Amino acid sequence: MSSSAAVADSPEATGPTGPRGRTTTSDRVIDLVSRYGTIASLVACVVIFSALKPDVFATSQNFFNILNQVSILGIIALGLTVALVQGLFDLSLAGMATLGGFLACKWLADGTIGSPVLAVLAVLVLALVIGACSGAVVAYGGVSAFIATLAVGSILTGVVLGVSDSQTILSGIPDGFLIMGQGEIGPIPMPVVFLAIVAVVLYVFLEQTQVGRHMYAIGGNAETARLSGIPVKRYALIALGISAACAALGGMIVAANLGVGRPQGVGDTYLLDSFAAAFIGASTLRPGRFHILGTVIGVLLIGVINNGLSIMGVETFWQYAVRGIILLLAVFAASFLVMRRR
Amino acid sequence: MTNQNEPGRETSRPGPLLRVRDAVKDYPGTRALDHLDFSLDAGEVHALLGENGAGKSTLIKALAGALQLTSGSIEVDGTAVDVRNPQRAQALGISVVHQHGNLVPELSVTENVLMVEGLDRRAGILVGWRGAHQRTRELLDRVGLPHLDPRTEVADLGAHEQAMVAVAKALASNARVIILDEPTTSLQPAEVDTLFAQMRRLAAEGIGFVFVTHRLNEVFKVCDRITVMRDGGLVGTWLAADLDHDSLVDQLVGAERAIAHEAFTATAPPGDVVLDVRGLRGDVLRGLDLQARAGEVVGIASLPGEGAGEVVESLYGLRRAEGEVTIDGRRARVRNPQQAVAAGMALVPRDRLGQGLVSELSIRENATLATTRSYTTDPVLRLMRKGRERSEVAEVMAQLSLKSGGLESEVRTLSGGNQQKVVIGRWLLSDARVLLLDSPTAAVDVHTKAEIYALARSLADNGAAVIFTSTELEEFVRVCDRVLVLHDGGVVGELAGEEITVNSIMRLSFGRKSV
Repeated sequence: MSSSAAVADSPEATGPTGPRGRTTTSDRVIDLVSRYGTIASLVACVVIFSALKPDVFATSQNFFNILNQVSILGIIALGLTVALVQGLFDLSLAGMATLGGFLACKWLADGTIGSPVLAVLAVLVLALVIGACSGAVVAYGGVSAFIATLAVGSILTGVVLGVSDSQTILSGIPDGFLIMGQGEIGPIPMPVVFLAIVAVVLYVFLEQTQVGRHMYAIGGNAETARLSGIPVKRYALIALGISAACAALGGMIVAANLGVGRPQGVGDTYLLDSFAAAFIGASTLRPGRFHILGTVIGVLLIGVINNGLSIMGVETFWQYAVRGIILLLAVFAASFLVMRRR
Repeated sequence: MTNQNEPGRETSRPGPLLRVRDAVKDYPGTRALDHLDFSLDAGEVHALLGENGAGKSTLIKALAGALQLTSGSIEVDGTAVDVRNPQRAQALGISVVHQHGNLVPELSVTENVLMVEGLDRRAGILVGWRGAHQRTRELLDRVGLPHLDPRTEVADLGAHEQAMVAVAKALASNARVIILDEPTTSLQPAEVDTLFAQMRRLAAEGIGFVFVTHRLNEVFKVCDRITVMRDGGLVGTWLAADLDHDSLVDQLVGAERAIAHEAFTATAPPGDVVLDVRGLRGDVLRGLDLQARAGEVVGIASLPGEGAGEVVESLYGLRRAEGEVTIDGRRARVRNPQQAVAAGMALVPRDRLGQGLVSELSIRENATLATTRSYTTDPVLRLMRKGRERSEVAEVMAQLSLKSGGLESEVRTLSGGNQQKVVIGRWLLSDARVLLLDSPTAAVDVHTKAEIYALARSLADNGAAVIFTSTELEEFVRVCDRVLVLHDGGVVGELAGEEITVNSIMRLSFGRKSV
């Protein structure tokens, strides 16, 4: 008797598990919409654009074109997804992407590093270290990731401008580096190859490894993870390190694609779109959870809409507006479902 | 038993300041208040006592407008009132001072005291600080803090000053009924005396206090009347002078509790010493020795904040402590949970959803959270062997007779008791030697409670040492082979076998050496 009264004394203790076992039709519809809504809209977009412009949109060439257009965004967004799994916002990725592209070009152009492969690896290692430093500030300094990465991103932007004297590197970049952005394997553009590799590696990392499992646990409930004996703090270093490395890789592909090392503005275009893609992804298949497959779908959705609207001759401002509306709808559907469940 | 409703008494004096008549509060499946009557006179200090779950906080919430009664009425000055929300309670002059004060530590005394009432205004927008501080000073004067600078940040105040500032805040909104919910938990004895002196002084001004506490000796120091609740109903109301400590304990516990419940105590003699703790001390603990053998369930009991919870937290590295801990003869240095787990300890925390589970992960992922390493393919790539993971989780969950819609369903879809099984299953999958169960049956139904007791026993029977603590004393009787009772951070007694009764634990935890 006293035990049942204890339950009643703190009704909130049963909180989220409250009303259970009642699934109404509307609940099921909401569930379906929020799980498969983004995939459905992706399919719908493809069908509509194909019907309207069958000879331009629905070609294999345009298909690779779309993939090529979204590959850099995809690589950056996939890295960001790892950080978001742990609930860490990485705002430094714009600065990081710019730094990565510029540094690789600079080192190769002035002969600091002769081999393009080594230059790329060096930049990736540097990015990992910088990301891990942001992670250390977050984990051990108690600064929110939002602020820490905002600060680091600003520092990086300043450093690139200072080092470059605001001069774009136009010459001396070896062809071996440019292949990264301009080469093809069969019909597949190199950026798409990189996107595929990053997607597979990070998918395996998050879904199939112990570290990935721990990251999801920490992102879900850091206190539970800590009490289960997981060394919670060091995972912030890993997460922001991976996010930074992916941003730097994206920046290098931009540089290789354009054939120039720009000291500013490279990453900024991708910052908001990568968040949009990751959040659209978090409303797909597994609502409320960031995951690689979801981000890939989010990236594709953004790519198809941009490409399709361009082909239709729709003005750029419409493209921004439509993208914003889709993001809102996707995130709204997911959060609505999560709220319903509480 | 002298009950409150002596006919002569009610008519010979003015009606009570506050009166609760026939209060019922139903939750789905349970009745938290069961036809309760309660009254408070102006100028009295009235103790409201009962075990955890007796319904005290439900009553307080009803008075404070935080919840609505299912039936029954609340009267102020003899007039029925509808306390539909906290603002209404405040307007009626009912104010609650919670255990940790309802103060914002970063704000000044003035800002806190006048938070509800509103700071003085100049020109409608600007704060009139001079007037506000002056008004606060007058209120501080009334609660016996005439020398306190009202501009001080609350965070800089001592615990008893914070308690009195909280009372001043209640006075600022012209409270006539002040409900003190365990105000003395964080106070030193001398500070408690100061608080009581001020309470008596304010009572003499006509304010009525409802005083909730677990410390019975305080009741006799300051209270005029005592109301005891049990299982949501009224046990009785007495003049404090008509009761003594022992008869009050009898009323609190109730005679029917002596009836034996189904027990889950050991059937075989215990094995070797698994956990050996020497001289454990910290901010609460004062040099505690503790041994637990394989197959033993050892209870640690105390009043809240007096050691039991602190022992568990110290052993698991959640609280700074010194002392020597050995597990199976090996010295364990534990400064954080990671080291605790590595040393062979396991914690089933009190807050299941906040500390025990990741609600959006699957049952499988939650169950293997502490043992992910044992499923990795190699130390470098650390790929998870999900097939093995699945089969091992399935085996353990079958053993726990978990009711679920499959091991891949999210853990939040489970009932409270089944969620707790997942937490316990996590440690069955590990080779933990010492299990720390911190109120493992909080907010689960009676049937699941019994299942969890049985689990605690089977964990011990598998050769582990189990440390058990709970806020419900009868649990110790049902599941523990030995119970250490702590008072004020030190062991005051050890009970074994038949000696373990709710009465003996309660008497010891109130600091009485003799059982």
